[in-house]
Amino acid sequence: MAEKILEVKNLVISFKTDHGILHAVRDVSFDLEKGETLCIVGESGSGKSVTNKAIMGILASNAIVEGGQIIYRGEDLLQVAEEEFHKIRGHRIGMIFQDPLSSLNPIMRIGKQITEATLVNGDKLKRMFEDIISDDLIAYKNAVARGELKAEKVIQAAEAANIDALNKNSAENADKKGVKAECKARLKAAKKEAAEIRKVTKAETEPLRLKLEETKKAAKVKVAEYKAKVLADYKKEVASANGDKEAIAAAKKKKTDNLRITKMEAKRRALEIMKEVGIPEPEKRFRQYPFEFSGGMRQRIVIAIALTETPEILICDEPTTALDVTIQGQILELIKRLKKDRDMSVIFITHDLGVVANMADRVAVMYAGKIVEYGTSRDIFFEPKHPYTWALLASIPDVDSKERLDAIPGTPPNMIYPPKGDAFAPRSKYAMEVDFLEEPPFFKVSDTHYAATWLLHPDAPQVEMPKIVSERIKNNLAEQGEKGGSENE
Amino acid sequence: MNNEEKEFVAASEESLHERIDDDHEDKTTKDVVDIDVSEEEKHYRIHPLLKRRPELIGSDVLLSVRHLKQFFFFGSKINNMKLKAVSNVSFDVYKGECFGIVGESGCGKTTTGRSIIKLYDITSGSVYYRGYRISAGSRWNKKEIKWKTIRWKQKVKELKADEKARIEAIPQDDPNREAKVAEIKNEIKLEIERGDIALKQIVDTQRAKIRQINFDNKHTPKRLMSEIQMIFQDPVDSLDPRMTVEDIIQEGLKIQGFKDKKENHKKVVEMLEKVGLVEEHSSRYPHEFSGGQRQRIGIARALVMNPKLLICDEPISALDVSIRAQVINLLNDLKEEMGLTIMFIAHDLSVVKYFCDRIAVMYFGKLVELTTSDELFKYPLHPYTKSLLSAIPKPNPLTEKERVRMVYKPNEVHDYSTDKPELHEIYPGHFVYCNEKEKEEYIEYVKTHVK
Ligand SMILES: Nc1ncnc2c1ncn2[C@@H]1O[C@H](COP(=O)(O)OP(=O)(O)O)[C@@H](O)[C@H]1O
Ligand SMILES: Nc1ncnc2c1ncn2[C@@H]1O[C@H](COP(=O)(O)OP(=O)(O)O)[C@@H](O)[C@H]1O
Ligand SMILES: [Mg+2]
Ligand SMILES: [Mg+2]
Repeated sequence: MAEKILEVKNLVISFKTDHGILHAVRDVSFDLEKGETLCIVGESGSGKSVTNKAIMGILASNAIVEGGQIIYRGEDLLQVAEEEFHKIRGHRIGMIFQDPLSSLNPIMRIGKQITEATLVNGDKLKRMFEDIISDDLIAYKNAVARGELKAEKVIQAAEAANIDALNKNSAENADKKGVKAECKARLKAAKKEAAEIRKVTKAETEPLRLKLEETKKAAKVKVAEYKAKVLADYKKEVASANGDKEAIAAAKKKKTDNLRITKMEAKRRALEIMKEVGIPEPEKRFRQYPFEFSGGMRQRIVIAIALTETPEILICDEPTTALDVTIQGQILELIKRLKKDRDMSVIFITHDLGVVANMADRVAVMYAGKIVEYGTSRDIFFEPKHPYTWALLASIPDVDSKERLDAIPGTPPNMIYPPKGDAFAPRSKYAMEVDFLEEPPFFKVSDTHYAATWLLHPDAPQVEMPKIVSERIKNNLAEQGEKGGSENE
Repeated sequence: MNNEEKEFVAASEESLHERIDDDHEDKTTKDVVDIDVSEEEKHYRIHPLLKRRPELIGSDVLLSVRHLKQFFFFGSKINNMKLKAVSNVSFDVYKGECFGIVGESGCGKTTTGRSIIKLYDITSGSVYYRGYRISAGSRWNKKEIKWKTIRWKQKVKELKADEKARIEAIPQDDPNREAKVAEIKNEIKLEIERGDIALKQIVDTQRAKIRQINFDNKHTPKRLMSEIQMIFQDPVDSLDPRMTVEDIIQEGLKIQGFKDKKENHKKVVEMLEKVGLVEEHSSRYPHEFSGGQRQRIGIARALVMNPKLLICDEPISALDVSIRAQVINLLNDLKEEMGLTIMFIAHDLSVVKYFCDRIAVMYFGKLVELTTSDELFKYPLHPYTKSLLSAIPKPNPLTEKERVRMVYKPNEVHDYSTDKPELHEIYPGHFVYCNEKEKEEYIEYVKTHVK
């Protein structure tokens, strides 16, 4: 099995809104394998963007991460302290959005926007220092954060218990004073316990802190040594240049290159990347503003910016939805090529099944904040099991047929009051009684394929997928057969 | 526009002035005055002097767009620029059909639709509905006067120079010199007189046409126009946020002169039900609805006018995937139920293929191919159509992964330097924008590949 590069486990995210708590992501788990493209598909509002913003650490301020883990390189991104998070995602996880204009600064030249990130991280001494200490720093900060989280959980649990008790009490109208005293005591005990936990944490993390201090000292020495060597080399070269102006200039350039990334160097790299993403005349384009570019070109620039940090995971959030088909095709090709050349893994969000077919190795179908089915591209397109996947497949017009579309009735649910049981049941003609009562677990279809629908329960009645879907699958497989046949001739 | 596209437009544009007979169909038009005032004309209150094409009246052609041009002008007087949003587009829409227009964003689809419902004063060309002209522009005619006059003035100069040269060429000692000079002078004079008369005729006919155009634009029959309704792309922007659904839908009824409040309410409810909403919705405001519901309100607003021709401008692009099929099915049902003719504008070819009988493909303001939807997908001829078709994503991972997309590079595939393109009918019902040479190639291709 391929290496898992990213794991999302039981992610739960809500938003505080004026109308109440909105449950945007409700227990989402998936993993991303090295080198694969995972497509997340589903209608708008199903939680695709929120899930991926959580991975990027760019959730809106009213978001509450209620639970779950996002494991990347052995660390839980939801628990590492903010600065580490930025470091990781900035360098190793890149994201591009649907609307390229909103992620570009309209009054800044393209060139500056592309070189900005390179220059910000351009101090080589600082970077060297950070690289040396980063493992120890992350280990220490995470240990502290984990302890703090444990302490907070204890208090939160007590508070929740108190609220429950008070509610119950007011309902039963029983002994008020007693309950209040009980609550107070409970909170006090919790606080005491939390303090204890904090103490323990501090003691436990002390060796880590000391180790970090050590590493910092060592790092400082190392960086100073490096700097001294660069300067010494420079002096030596100047001396041996014997006043040769060119040699002195070369030595000077070498010195600066060794210490930091210069503007010129950043520009050279930017131009290279612009060429790589297919922007013609990069020299000229470098000096232009975003409005001077077409939609497709803007998206290429956004991709270029994401690439300056050489990410290992690229998250694409509907990058082609606003584009024309021909331009969309070009951008899809570009992303595929870059993925291959740079050995990246890609999470690709879309609501267009045609795009999914083109891009995906694996597919996760989302509905109402949950993944309802996931599997390989083949699993989802040729053996779909969840009624929502069927509905999606049936509702798109097909170039090859004119039969009436199976429209999905009704509207997507209001996520302040997510439906009980199977969220899709109210719109599904396959819904059974149990669908309205109890949430279906994931049933295993094959080693790669899982679906959360009661239809897969051994006791469920046998139902066939809609005819329009099975017909299309038959046609699609036949089309391949024809093609394969003619190729063999 | 990048350079390639500019070249394409420029190369194919240059000499259009001479090529387009702005209303070549005029030849069949009878003198407007002695047409019978039929029942239909009484019903639509059509002015007897309105220009019409009798061959279309009562025929299968519901809408006929001829040489439509819609330019937008910007900039100052000195540095003025024009954008040819729609440039010389012609097509007919038949009763009961669904006519699709596809092309990339910015190619002029919306502008075409808006020009037809007279949201713009069209720059040039004519639009006929039921055979009566509902809209026309006079820029071409004005240019015709201007250029013909300028050319004639140049010609006169040349003639004068010629006269002088010929007189000088006669030897001074020629005994018949006087007579010869007089003869030459007379000859040139006659020619100039003849030319003046010809020019005057051209100017007079064009002036008359301009007068007719202005007249027609002023006297467009309202009843005729109310049969053409448009549904807009963005269901949010196209509804007034301060009006209730009831007001929005009733507005059209009031314009038509229906005043009875009870009756009107009944009609509103009927329309709401037709588009899958209920009476309770009528007192709410647009922002209280989802995107799909707002689009339904837009459809109800159009339908209450009892239209015969419905122009749908990307009615589902702004909607969510799960809602799109609902709206497509709704439009399909309404089409059957109300006998609508539909003009369906979209950039998503698979939707258009699904929905339309015939499809017109536009590229930078020009119509480059027009034929039935089956033909278009089976035998696309224009290279732009081919590239568009090769880019449609299909929900089939087996074929999709190996797809090869074609890229359209106008200045590599066309040579329009001398042989200019125009819309040619390659075989009955299949039109392609091409020059003579390409036309031969297409005909050859069709001979060998089609049936
Ligand atoms: N900052 C926010 N405040 C409140 N609700 C939000 C916020 N961001 C997203 N949501 C809600 O969360 C749900 C999921 O949104 P999103 O992930 O953007 O959906 P999509 O699948 O279309 O990307 C939606 O109901 C959306 O309205
Ligand atoms: N009112 C207007 N003023 C100036 N330019 C316009 C106007 N409306 C459209 N355009 C321009 O005309 C061209 C065609 O636009 P449009 O018809 O909206 O294209 P489409 O609907 O095919 O996307 C575009 O370049 C657009 O910017
Ligand atoms: Mg989104
Ligand atoms: Mg448009």
